[in-house]
Amino acid sequence: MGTMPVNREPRITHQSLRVLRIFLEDATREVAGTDMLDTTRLASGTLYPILARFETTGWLKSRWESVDPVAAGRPRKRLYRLTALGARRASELLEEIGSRVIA
Amino acid sequence: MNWKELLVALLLGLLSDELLGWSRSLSRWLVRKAAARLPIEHSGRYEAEWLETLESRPALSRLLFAIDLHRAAFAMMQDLHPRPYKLSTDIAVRANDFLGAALMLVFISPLFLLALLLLKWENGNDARPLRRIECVGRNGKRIELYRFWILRGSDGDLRPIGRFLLVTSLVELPQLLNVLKGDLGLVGPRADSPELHVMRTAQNPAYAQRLLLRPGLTGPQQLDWTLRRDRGEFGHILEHDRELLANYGLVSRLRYLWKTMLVVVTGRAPRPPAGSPPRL
Repeated sequence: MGTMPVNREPRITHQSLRVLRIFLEDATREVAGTDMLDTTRLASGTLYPILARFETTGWLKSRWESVDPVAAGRPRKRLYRLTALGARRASELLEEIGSRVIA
Repeated sequence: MNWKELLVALLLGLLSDELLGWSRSLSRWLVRKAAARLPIEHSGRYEAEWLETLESRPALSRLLFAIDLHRAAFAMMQDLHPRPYKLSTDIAVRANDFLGAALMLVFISPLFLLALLLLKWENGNDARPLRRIECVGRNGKRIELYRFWILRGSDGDLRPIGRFLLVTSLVELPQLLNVLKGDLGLVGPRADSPELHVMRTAQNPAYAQRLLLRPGLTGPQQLDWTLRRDRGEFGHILEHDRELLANYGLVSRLRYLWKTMLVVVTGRAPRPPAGSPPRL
């Protein structure tokens, strides 16, 4: 939901961390919703609000896949990727959690 | 295997086949409905995105995916418009609206059907007896209110049935269907056309607060004899809205319903507040 002002921190939950991990393996990776559903094994009712929150706070951004739906014979996918802000904040966050677990 | 088991197996096979065929269109319908719960500026994007994702899900999990999107839309709406009232209050109010409207519809259904048939006859066969009016609903959602469609005769005059429905306000009766659908409540602010809403919000931004509530069939604004249609003191409307927002709940609702019933039964407008100018 990109039209919202970027002024809040997303709520971090166990589930939203599972979503972030997909992106952190390769920060330039673009992922479609269906792949995230498979990887995280989250239900659609959990995944999409998380994605919307990350988009609102500017951690993730999304775009329509640039294929011609007629030529490809399938509808375009919506692809999500990490922003620079998201990459920085997410790795900080995971580091913090990691150190807390060890300590 | 005896013939009974065979028959059951055959029926189950047919049923599952039929269900799989149906589940696809059902899922797509559910996805569209879920996207429509989001504000207008987001619903288009999510409808396209979710319909595409639906196609790439395994066949057996599609229906579940689609159903669960309603939970997603609910949570996304919560993030955009945090719920100002307790969930239990909201549920009680909605239950009161739904049951009240359903009960009234059952009681007046003969009258309703009669009005429909008579209008159909008076308007001629080509005209539809119901029309839809675009209004602004809760959280700025676009809603369509139903109303009996009154057509004028070739001389520009109202005809008997139409005049009767207008004079008795029965012309608004179909809005009970909107209450069942959840567009309207029994009690709430008067629904505005999009133009009127934009105009009044520009006049005073506080006016947008009323979007926290479902518009209603009746309410302080509708019962206020000094406010007729879209005219009247703007300050009074804001005052009525504030009262509704501050007293959201079953008790205040039942009070307004009671007041409305008195007006309908006695045919008298509620007494004007002390010190207000005489009615013209």
